Amino acid sequence: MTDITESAPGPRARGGSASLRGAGLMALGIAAVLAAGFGLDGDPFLLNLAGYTCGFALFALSVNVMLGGLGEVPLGHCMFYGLGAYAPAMTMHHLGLPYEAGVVIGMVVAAALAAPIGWLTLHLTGAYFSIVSWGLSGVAMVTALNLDVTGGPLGLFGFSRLAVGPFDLSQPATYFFVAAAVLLAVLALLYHIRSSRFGRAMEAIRQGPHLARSLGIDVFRERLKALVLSAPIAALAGALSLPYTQIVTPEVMSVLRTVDALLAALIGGVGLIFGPAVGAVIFTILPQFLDLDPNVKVLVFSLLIILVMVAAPGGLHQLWKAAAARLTHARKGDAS
Amino acid sequence: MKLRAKAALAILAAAVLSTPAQAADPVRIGMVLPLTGPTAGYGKDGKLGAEMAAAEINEAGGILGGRQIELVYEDEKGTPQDGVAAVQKLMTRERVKAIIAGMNSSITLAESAITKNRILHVNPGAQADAITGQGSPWLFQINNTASTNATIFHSYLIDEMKPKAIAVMGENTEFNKAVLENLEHIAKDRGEEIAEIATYDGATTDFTSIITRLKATGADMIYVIDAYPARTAQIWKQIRQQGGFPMEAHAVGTVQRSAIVPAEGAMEGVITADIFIAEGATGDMAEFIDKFQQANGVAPNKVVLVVYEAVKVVAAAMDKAGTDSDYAKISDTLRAETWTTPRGEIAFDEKGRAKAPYFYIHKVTGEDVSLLDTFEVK
Amino acid sequence: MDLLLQTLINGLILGAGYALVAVGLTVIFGTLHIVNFAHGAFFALGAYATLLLEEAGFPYLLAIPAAVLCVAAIGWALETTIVRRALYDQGEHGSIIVTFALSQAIVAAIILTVGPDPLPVPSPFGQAAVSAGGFFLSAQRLFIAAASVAVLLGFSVWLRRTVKGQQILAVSQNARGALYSGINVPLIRSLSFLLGISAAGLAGALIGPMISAFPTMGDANVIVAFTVVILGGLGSIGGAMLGALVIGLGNALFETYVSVSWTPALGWILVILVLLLRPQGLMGRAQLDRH
Repeated sequence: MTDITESAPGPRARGGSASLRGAGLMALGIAAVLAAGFGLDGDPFLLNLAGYTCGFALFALSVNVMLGGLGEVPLGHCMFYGLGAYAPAMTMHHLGLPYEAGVVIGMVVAAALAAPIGWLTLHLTGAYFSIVSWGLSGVAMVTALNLDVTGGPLGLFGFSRLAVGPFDLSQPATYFFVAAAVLLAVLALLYHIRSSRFGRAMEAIRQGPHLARSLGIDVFRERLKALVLSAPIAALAGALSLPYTQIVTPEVMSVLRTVDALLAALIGGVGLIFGPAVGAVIFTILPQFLDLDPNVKVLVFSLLIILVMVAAPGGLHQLWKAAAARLTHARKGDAS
Repeated sequence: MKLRAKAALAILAAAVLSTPAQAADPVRIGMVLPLTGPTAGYGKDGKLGAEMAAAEINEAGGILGGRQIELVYEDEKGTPQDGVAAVQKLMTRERVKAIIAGMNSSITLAESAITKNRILHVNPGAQADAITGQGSPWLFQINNTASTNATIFHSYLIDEMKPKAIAVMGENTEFNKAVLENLEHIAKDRGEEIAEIATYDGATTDFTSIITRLKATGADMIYVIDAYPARTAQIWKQIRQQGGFPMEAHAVGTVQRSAIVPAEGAMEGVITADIFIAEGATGDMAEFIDKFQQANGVAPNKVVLVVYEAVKVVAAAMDKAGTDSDYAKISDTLRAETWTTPRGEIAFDEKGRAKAPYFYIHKVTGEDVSLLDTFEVK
Repeated sequence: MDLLLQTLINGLILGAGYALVAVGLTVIFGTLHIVNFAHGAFFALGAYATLLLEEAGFPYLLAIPAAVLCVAAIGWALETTIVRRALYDQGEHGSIIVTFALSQAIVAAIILTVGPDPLPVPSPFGQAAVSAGGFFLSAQRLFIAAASVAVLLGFSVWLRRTVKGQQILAVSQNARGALYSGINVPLIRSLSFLLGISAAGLAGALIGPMISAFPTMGDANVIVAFTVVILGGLGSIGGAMLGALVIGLGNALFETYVSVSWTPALGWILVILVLLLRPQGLMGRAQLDRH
């Protein structure tokens, strides 16, 4: 299992080259965003979808803080995503606040809520944590369904202005560039965190909580920090989905949303910083080009996922690595 | 991508420049239906109705001087998010000229926020009043509104059946809310007692305790508001197992064979209503039923009918208005004329609502419904 | 008083049904440490197999075991092709994704082959209800409760009294130890998977006549089963039975006396409360630090 991680936080001397690599990746990311943004020029649907995909990738990153970082499966993470979508919708609808304010409120509430939730649930591990987390999102969904401020079963829709400062998110190209910029910023943040003390502590916990504890790491506190870090990212993702979905209903907290993000993270590779983002792109854009009967599409896509998990449980990049290893092996064989 | 964009531009240019002389390119109509998920049955029925309508139009030489109708399907999967995504994809990527979308009220409301002032949107099946109540100039509805249907049906239940007290159970949805509001209003007006209202979640697996609770109120009529066939069957089985109620009713427009058959007789005698009945059909309706039966081997239901009518009305209105994209003109035409459907002549009012010429009170008999009473809708 | 009695009867019978769905989940988790999200799909397959066998002329009571065999056969095919390769020893991540994808694929396959509309699963008990002293009991429900108790008791006895059963328990307690003491661990794992899947199929065959067969019929039932299993303690059969009774009675009482619309939250709140006090569930073993 350890071979799926690429992090291997090396000695301090390597810090320089790591940050160089980070800068290189970031440049690559920006280039990809620009290429995609201008390449899709004139296709508002794909631009909108690409904007949504950036939001979804953000959610996959948030889920992966728990999955790749701690080795836990946070099935109920959709609750924070839903909270992030509901917050701007509710503050715009009931208080007349601008969208940006709602987004910030959603992130703050998500972080504030993550602390007591984590304090209650992070003593559990494995399937127990996953299912209790799922349960909490179930409670949140029933609550959204039964309250009036959330719009009940109908939810909230018909937003007047979805914009960040001068950037009008109802314009597909603007929406995509804003969402992509946010995604890149969060990627940079996560990259920075991974090479920090906290990032290494998380890695140690994921590989062996007992060893980590004996090394003097406060396991519970680090786990709690991870949840409080990932919750506002999920909320931000939920808020960024609004320009695409144009509606928020209790269904936004469905566990299926978390499962989608988990799939994206696992296909892209949980050990890679940008793995979940790549997985999210594969996961949302690809099905749009499969011109099949919807049920056949579900069947084909599910079977593909199973195939990937059988062949490369660490993510698609494993296939690439395996092929590369075979190549170098063959070359060595030639030399001897 | 560049190539694709160019191709799209070329299609767009062709569409703009097209005159009756270049009649080759078809008129694309976007169909948003639940093709997967728990309500996939409605999607399957709707698709059959749409296909039949398009085939008839195309056989008769198409519209706007010989252009064929082409239907483009997208799956809304039974969720508002996917409904919105489907509509956006059809409008921006598939470049359809009209959207036909509407089975579930919540989903249709979400979709109508996207189509408002942008494209012609015809809602075949969803009933909640809020959909056409938001003042969207290019939004039309084939089915009656929940309140039109419910007012006739609830008056019938209270005035004709004369229950002492009514117990209500229904799923927590927008449709349920609209029906309940109407019932409470009419009951208050008539001095009728509503013993209890139980609103359950879509994930509920068992209804025994809810029914026990409702029976304990001593109500002599049970009224179920649910549009999902499998759950409808399960609820009525469990009502039957607990001895039933002296009077039993189910919400308007939601009882079809897909619920009656799996209920295995438990729905026998339940009173419901709809804008359609196959029994005793004459004229255009009999012809429609025969033709569908021959093509598909099963009898059509209400969903088949309203989607069929939606496609027919959209095509006829475009043809009569002489345009596929001047939505103001198409909408004016839709409001000004009356339209021939298997049910008879229908007309749209200012809000885009069609009124069914007739409204039928049904009683579940065997594997289908039989006619109990007919009302002319004023 | 009558209302309370009827509610308690409802709850007990409901709980017996829940136990039946839950037991397969808990067996698979106990020995394989797989959270099986495809349980609901196998539940649906059980109901569809019963229905198709009945159409082929089998009487219901004979169609049940035959349907269980069909589901077991499908389970066996999937076990050898997918589950064995992708899941064992991969922890929760892989199992959640693969079993979830499996469940989606099965549901899509049902829609494509049989169609999306609900279909009746005929049962000789039909809609008959036993009414005694003003109480109503559905005959099919009584049959489910009786079958559930019989199967669960029989299974518990089988686990304790037979060599294979003992080996399953050994593997679930300590797989490595079991391997060292000469137990064929891969075989026992396959056997446990098949047992769990068959239990799902049996539940579908028994509960199908109540709720009719439709492609997504497993979804809601499996969510309840998850709360039951977690409440009782993952991997514990006694725990599943206890959890099922608690949730069955809890739901019935809450629905009758408190609120219908908030009931779906009740199971989760019970689970969260119990886990805060007893992190291993009501009857689970206090061994949580597998990670």
